Amino acid sequence: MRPGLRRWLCGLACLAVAAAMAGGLSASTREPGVQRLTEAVLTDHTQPGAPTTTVSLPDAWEHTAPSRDGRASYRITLPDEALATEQPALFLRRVGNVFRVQFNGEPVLSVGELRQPLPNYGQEPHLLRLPRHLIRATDNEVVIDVIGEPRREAGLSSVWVGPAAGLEPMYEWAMNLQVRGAWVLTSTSATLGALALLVAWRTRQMVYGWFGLGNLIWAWRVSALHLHDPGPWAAVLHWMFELSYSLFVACMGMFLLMLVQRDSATARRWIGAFVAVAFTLSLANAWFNLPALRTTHLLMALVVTVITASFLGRHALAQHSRTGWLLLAAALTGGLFGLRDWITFRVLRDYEAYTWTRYAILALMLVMVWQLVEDYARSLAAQREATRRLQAALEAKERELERIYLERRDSDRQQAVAAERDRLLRDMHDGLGGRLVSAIALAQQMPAPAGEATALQELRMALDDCLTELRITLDSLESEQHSLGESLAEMRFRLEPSLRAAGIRLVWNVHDDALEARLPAGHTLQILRIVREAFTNIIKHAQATVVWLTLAREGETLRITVLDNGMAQRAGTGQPGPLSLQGGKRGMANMQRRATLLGGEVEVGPHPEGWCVDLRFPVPLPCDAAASPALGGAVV
Amino acid sequence: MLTVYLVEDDPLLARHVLDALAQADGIECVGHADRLAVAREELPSRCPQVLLSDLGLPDGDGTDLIREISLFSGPWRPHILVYSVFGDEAKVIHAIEAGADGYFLKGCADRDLIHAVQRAADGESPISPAIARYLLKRFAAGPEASPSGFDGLVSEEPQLSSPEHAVLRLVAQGYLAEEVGERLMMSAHTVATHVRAVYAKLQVGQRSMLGLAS
Repeated sequence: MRPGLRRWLCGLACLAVAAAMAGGLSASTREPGVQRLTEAVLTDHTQPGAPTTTVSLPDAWEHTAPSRDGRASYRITLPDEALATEQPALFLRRVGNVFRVQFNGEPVLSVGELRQPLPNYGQEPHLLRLPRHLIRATDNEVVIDVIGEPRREAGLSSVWVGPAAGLEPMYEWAMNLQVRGAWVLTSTSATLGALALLVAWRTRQMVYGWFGLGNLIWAWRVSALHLHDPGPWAAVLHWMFELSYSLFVACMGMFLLMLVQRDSATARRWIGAFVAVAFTLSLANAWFNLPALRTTHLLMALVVTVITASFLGRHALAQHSRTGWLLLAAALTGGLFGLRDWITFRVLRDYEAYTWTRYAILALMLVMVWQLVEDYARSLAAQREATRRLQAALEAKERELERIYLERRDSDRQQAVAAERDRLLRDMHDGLGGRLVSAIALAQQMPAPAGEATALQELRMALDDCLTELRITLDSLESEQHSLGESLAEMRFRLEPSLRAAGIRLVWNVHDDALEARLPAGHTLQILRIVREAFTNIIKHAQATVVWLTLAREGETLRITVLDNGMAQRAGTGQPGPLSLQGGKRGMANMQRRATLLGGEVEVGPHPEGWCVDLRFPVPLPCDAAASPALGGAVV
Repeated sequence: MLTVYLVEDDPLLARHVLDALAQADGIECVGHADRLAVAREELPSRCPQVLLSDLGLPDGDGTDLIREISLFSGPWRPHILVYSVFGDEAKVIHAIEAGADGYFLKGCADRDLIHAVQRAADGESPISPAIARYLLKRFAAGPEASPSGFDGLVSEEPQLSSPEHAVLRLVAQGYLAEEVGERLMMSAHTVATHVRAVYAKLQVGQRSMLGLAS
């Protein structure tokens, strides 16, 4: 849901609540046939001689006779047409502390006993059905004896007369708002107050503590005067009732300010001062019984409420947060209701009006619940986020560990393989190589027996071959791969002594662009063996004096030619002997097989210069050479 | 008369070398050791011009002996050739770094052995394509590529001159010293002295690192 829409819905809900309350509280609408009587003849029995005066209703003793302590009779004439109904009735919206009703001289209702301390029934409405047999044709009158005490909100509201059916709804409304509403508010406030205190205790958040305290105070205050029998503490009860309002305002002020983090030391001092003044004023009123003191006290509470609301208003404007606006709305509700009550009760001195302020707590409850839910949602979201992050971190770590483990395993495996290969290489090199070298040395030291010179020469050459072959194999096993050019260079280096011994000059002609060709290790080995075979044949059979080796690149083909100037038709002459010829043929077949493995081809045959071995095989273009051909030769 | 000292534990190979040296004109073998200990004891008194040494000896690595000799600050400084089966093993390169002037191949013909000794005494150094390739890589990458284990130490490493670089490049491509000389318009002797100069640079770098390390 978008924030704007939510704000609108909140506003609508608040308006609906306010409208419902306003409608309910001003339910003094005229029912058909019902008349409101606002004139009475008052006989004050507390005064010597019991003077009689005409008063207008409602009559609040707190304002009209603050010190009256005892009985006063209100004589009210009932209009005939109001009684001309099947069941006429009286509706007393508010009367107290205790009272008696006489209709045409007969007692019809007695509420509360006359004892000390005086009970108090002034918080509830009364519906009185008039006995039909007492109704006279005309000049019906009702006398209401009100017995009250100072400071205990005695008095009489207007009197409604009319058909019972018409008065019933008004009575029900009044009961709902004044009595049942009070008990609902008390239980709700007490519950939420306890809950808030519990939250404050468990989460160590004082903000909820202030709210909880304020709610408990309110819960007590709302129902305090509904207890008919106050016991011996009636005076204390009323003093505390008066003071509790300011205590509640102070608690809620702290609650709201803390919610927006504006509970500065200054603010706390002001609120403390407010409570102190309220305490003094209420005590003074309890002592001196001056209604003006209570009026001032309530005005001060109102001012504090307005100041708090303005604070919140500034905050809401600055922050533009939902909570901020909600707080402002709650504070304004409190302020407006307080103002209405103050004007109604303290300025207009309307005894029959019911207080609105007690319902302002609903707005504050909404704020508290909102805040609680907000806190919960936020902490839940934070917790989820934290859990998600933890989970992600955990998974990342697991993946990392897995990766490290795999890498480690691979590297261990590779190391083991490399170590094993190194060991094999070393063994072959030092063991086999060393023995071969010794054998060569031995062969060289052997004096050639007569007639066996060729055999000894063959033996030496065979041993040389073995050494060279060993080296080629070792090279191919090395972990660091060499380019074809490098491998060829090393082979040449090893062949050179044998060629020299055979009196052959090797002309080395390798082209830069072909040197860098990198082939799979197996391929390099095959090529070296082919070239080696070609040289072996030349040394053994060709009786050549010069060999040209050429390595060149032709596009994606590498070409190696080994050309000698020896006896051109040596394969056909049958020279020099059957053994060598067989070896030569086998060597030729081997060359063909190896060339096929490379995906290339080898041509062996006569050449105008002599004899030529021509090997071609495909190689991929080196990517760096393709990008910059000049580089191919420069890098060795 | 060219004096030679041999360190070799294989009696067959030793016999081969000693015979070859004895038959050569102008060369005199002034001693033979089959242990490093013996060589350490005898060498200072024999003061040969050329030292032929195997590397894997029963009581240690010949490279240690070479390092001791090259760090020795006396007037005597022999030309050192180490035995090698193929002329390109890592241990040959280690030996060159330690101060050897080259290698000679095990089981080479007598003629080649004598030639190698004479050329070594002449200030030339043999080289193989694999060594040339290693040197090119080593001087291009700096001391980090050194297999000696002094990684991370910064030293004033000498650089290759451009003829030296060209020589190494051609050797790495498979050209022999003579052919390199032809291609670069210099004598084979010049090529070989270039090689020795490169070896010397390798040893300088090595020593400076040793100095830093100690």
